[in-house]
Amino acid sequence: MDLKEIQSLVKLVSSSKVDHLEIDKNDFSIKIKKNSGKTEVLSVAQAPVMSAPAVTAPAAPAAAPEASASAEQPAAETVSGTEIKSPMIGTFYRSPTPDKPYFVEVGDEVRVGQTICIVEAMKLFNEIESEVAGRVVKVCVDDASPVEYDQPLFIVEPI
Amino acid sequence: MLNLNPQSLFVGQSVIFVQEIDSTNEYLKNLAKQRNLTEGTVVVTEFQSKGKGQRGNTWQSEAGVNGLFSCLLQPKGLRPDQLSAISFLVGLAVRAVVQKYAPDKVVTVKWPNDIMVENKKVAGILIENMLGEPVNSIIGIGMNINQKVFNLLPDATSMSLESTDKLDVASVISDCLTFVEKYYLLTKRDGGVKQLWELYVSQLYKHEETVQINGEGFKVIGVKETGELIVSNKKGERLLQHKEVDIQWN
Repeated sequence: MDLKEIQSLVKLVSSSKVDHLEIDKNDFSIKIKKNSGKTEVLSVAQAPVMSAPAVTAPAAPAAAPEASASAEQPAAETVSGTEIKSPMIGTFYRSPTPDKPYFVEVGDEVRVGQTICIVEAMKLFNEIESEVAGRVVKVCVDDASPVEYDQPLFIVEPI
Repeated sequence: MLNLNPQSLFVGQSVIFVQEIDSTNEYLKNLAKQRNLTEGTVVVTEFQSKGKGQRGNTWQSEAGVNGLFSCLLQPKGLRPDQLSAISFLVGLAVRAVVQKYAPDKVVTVKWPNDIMVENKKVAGILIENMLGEPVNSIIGIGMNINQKVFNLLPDATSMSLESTDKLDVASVISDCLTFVEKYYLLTKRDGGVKQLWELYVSQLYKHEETVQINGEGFKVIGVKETGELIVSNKKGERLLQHKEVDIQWN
């Protein structure tokens, strides 16, 4: 996670009704807690190598509670789920064929093993299955866009 | 009814024949989702009403004259970045079958996996992987076998047009399944994936020749082990992903 992403997370928290946000990824974790209208980053931890850029994070956005932004709950939720990542480089497709509906939409419930998208690489069409059960809260990539290895495709919130 | 008799251990040993079907890949995929199928299970039809090419392209075929089938492989031990090996092995297998029936012709694999006799397409492959546990790889193969007329497709040909005889559809499909297994088993051997890749590159259509990409000439250098096409011109080398660019091969 880079500085920009942390900034946008802080902004997101400050502009929403959420008071407290925690993200715990493999080698990185962050807690953002809102305190009397002021947002501050409480801790960034775990992997020493990864935390280096994060230390500088509080400086820029902390005092930026944007009152103008509307409090959008769903936006805040998008960062609180499990990321489903691309297992390969390729092209991301949300539907089985262009004339068919999308496999999943935001708000849909998915079960483990359910096909949620296709990543095509060199004409190999790979159906990607959800590894978790939950509700799709965000689709991170536009239909028919290129994706990188390990790039988040969906965020699924456990229910 | 087609009586298949592949010389194989498991590919084509379990066959589901369907007279007419929208797409053998779709049928096999749905079946694999419903229950555990034996690896090597084949769905074969005489007529596909909605033959599937990539991303909804349709495949034109007369009834009973061509080879239209799908086969289930469950590759274990292949990492996601090695899945191109499936594409290589199927391309090589189908190419070898076409070559067997047209021994005097130049038969190559057009990247990523169309089979060409000289400059005409004789067979197409559509691979759909279901990346679960196990990985179910649905191998769809469409071979023009005895079709004689391709009104709307001037760049298509059939195996019988390229050899002198009328061919037996079931024999050609059986040969194809035999070859698919032969090349598939290579992926399980030490160094087999690399060997498949080298074989694939050696059979590449327009290898070392010039193609046009966005109006610019490039020489086809090869294919990376991960599947990208390597081309170059005096400005340097480029790696191409499928669909990224429109290549004019001729």
